[in-house]
Amino acid sequence: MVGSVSVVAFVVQLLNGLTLGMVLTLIATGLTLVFGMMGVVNFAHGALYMVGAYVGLSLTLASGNFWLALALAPLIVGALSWLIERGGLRLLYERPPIYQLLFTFGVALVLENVVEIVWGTDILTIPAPFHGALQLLGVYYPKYRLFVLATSVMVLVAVGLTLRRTRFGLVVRAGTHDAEMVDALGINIKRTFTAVFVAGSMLAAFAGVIVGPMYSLSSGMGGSVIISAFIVVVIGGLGSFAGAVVGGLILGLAQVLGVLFFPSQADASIYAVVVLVLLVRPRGLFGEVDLQ
Amino acid sequence: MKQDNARRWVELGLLALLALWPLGTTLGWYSPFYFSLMTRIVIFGVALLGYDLAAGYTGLVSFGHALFIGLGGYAAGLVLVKLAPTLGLDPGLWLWLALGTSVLVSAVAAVVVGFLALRTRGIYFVFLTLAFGQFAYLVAWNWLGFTGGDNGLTGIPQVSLALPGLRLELSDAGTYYYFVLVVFALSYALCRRVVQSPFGRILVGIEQNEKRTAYLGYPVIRYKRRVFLLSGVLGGLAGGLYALLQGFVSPDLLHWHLSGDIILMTWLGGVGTLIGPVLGGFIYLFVGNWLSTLFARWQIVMGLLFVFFVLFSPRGMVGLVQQGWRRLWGSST
Amino acid sequence: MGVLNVNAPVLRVEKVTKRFGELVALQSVNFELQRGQNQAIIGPNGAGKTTLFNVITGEFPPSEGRVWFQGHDITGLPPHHIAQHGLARSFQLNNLFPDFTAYDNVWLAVQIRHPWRESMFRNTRRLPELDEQVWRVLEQVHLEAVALQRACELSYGDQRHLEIGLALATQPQLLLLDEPTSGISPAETQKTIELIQSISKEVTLLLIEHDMDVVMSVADRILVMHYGSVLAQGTPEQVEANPEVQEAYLGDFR
Repeated sequence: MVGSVSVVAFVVQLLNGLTLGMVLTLIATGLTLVFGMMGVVNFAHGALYMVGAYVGLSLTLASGNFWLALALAPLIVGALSWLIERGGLRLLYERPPIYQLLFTFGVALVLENVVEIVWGTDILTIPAPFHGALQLLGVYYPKYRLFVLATSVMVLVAVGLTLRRTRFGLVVRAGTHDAEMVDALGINIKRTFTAVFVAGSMLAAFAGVIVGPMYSLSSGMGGSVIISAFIVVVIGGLGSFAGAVVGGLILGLAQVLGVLFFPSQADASIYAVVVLVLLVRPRGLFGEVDLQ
Repeated sequence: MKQDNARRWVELGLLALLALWPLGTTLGWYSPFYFSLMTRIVIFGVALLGYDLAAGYTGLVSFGHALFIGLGGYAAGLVLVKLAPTLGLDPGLWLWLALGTSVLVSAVAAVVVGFLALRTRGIYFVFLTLAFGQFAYLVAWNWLGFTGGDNGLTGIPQVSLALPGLRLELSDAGTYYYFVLVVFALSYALCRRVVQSPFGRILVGIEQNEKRTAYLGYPVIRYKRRVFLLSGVLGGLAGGLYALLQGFVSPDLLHWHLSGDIILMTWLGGVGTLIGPVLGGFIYLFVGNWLSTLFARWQIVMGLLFVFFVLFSPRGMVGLVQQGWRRLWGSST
Repeated sequence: MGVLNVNAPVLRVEKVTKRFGELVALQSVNFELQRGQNQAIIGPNGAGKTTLFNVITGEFPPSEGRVWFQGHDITGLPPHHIAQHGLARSFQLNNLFPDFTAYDNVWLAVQIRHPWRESMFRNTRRLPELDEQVWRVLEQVHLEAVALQRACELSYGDQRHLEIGLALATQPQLLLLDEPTSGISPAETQKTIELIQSISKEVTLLLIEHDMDVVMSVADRILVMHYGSVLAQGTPEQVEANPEVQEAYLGDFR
């Protein structure tokens, strides 16, 4: 029992923090693996999350079936991200890496505007597929939130298993260590990279849809999420899935609990931590990629 | 040399255009709104010049230029609202005090951030500068008592400018415009000088091959810090001018969105050309404003142009103009 | 900078050892270089030659040992500092300013010796003395004809010459050349040999080379490296006659 915070409130916020953390990890995974493999910083990653959410919204409203939207939206966003990688990013691999950042930044801007054009500027929400709450320590906690937490964990476990147990995962992990070497071994690293790029975007889109009923949708959500994703990836370590998980949990819990205990300093302190990490241990907790 | 002469004519032409701009309002060609818009563009121009020196010439692409602009704005605002009235100075000197503080505060920030961040490169530099900026944004946003929190710092007074033998009432839009234009012209002349100097050559050398520049004997990090300082100071100066124009400062002046806008304008106009980013600012703010009357989502045009330039023509608009010029007049330099 | 001891060797490398984790790249390397004496470092790939250059020029400090340049201890100093002392280096892989013209490449190198090298206000167009110096260097490395071409557009041979020219233009007391003829066609190698020979008259040279023609026409002394250690050093004749060297090279020496 800390100060004026009751145990119950703490547990509720803990669950919220864990859920947020898992969602952030879903988003950050794509970002960190893409960077680890090719040194590409995909600024549009947050925008793809946002497009996923909005596409999920439209699909849900059109079909009346949330689950259909949850399955289809990531595929649509996956196709979009494939276009982005093939049509634009590929042209920039020979150039200084800053151009990849600038390009994806521009794409993010364009996507933000596209969303505003298609869906307008009103704040929207995806209708939840089910309602109701569970009793938890005398408080009612929304079932849907628990569902999000559980699903995110399962998806992340699946990602982890893919990375650890499959050949594809092996190539990806090797690629984050030394892409040149993998290429030299005759494995088509470019194709693997495109696959990782697309898969990462699909994860982000999935997160966008599943979180839609919980948080509201706005055209600025891409911009704010990408910053959070950057923080996760910096703390966890660029190129590391484990880092994304740990970083996501840290940020999710810090944001939620920070608001609980130190409301006015919470946000700024996170950036102070980011600065410290970048200065003292740039490769984060688990990162191995040593960028210059 | 021909290119130099051509550029000089362009510079003079643009300066003349800017100087004659207020006439349009007097002649009734356009409303006074476009007057204040132009003032804002010229102020942004000062910040963009600073950014181009660091990012365009030296290759120090930061995502935190807003830090300096915002700090400059808050510094000037706070001085005018809280400090100057208590000092018993001649109000004509307040402006010097305010802008001087803008410059000083942004200089200190540039030294600190430069010292810490310039040891890193590429994406780490981007993250660091972004983080510093966001930190400042959140501090300003939360510090209700000092900065006015998310409501911003309001009530910045209109000032007069005391010069030897002259007193300018900067509350008059026209006077302020010309004041800002003079500051911009001086800033431009300074930047052009720096770019043509031995120091300017070293900067471009650093951008092309930092290692070789060091091996020739140049203390690279010292020069990076120097240009970063100059860049930050120009940003801070612009922020101070902006605070005076608006009469208030909101935390948005520190937000990374503004840094993103600066980047957009820089590459839109043409990075590493000095004129380019300023032109980009004009395109984004002025043309954008005009476009917004035609259709609501004009920003998408800017975004697409930006993406196009990043992919195919980093010298942006200026690059296109140069290519067109070359095709018309041949490429003898 | 202190009093220059004219009798001190230009370069003294004293028991320099360099470890990268478990790997010992350099093992107690010792040698001296007198002013005007040109020395070539030879040895198979992986012998540590470039690592030695990196230690001397400040890319990284040695794990043990010291480096003296003209009587000054330069061990562990950063590259720009060492270069300012008068020790210049060219690279095995071209390390030029790709978008600068050959002229502008050399300009940046010539500028370092100028008192206004970091001036933010002088106009570089109004420094005719520098312009003269740049052309002199360009002529010396036979690049006057292509002076206004961008470095990335030059032929490989011209790029190698520019590579040397950059280091030379800083007016060094000691010039380190890392495989200056690497990748140059046999036809062009003769031109480069002549260039190196002409340079050796004004600057003390230390060069890494694989091409024995170059070594024999330029070097007064040879240092043979093998697995990070010095195998032999001396005049070309001495080194040729050295049984250990013969064994290491399996008779392929000459």
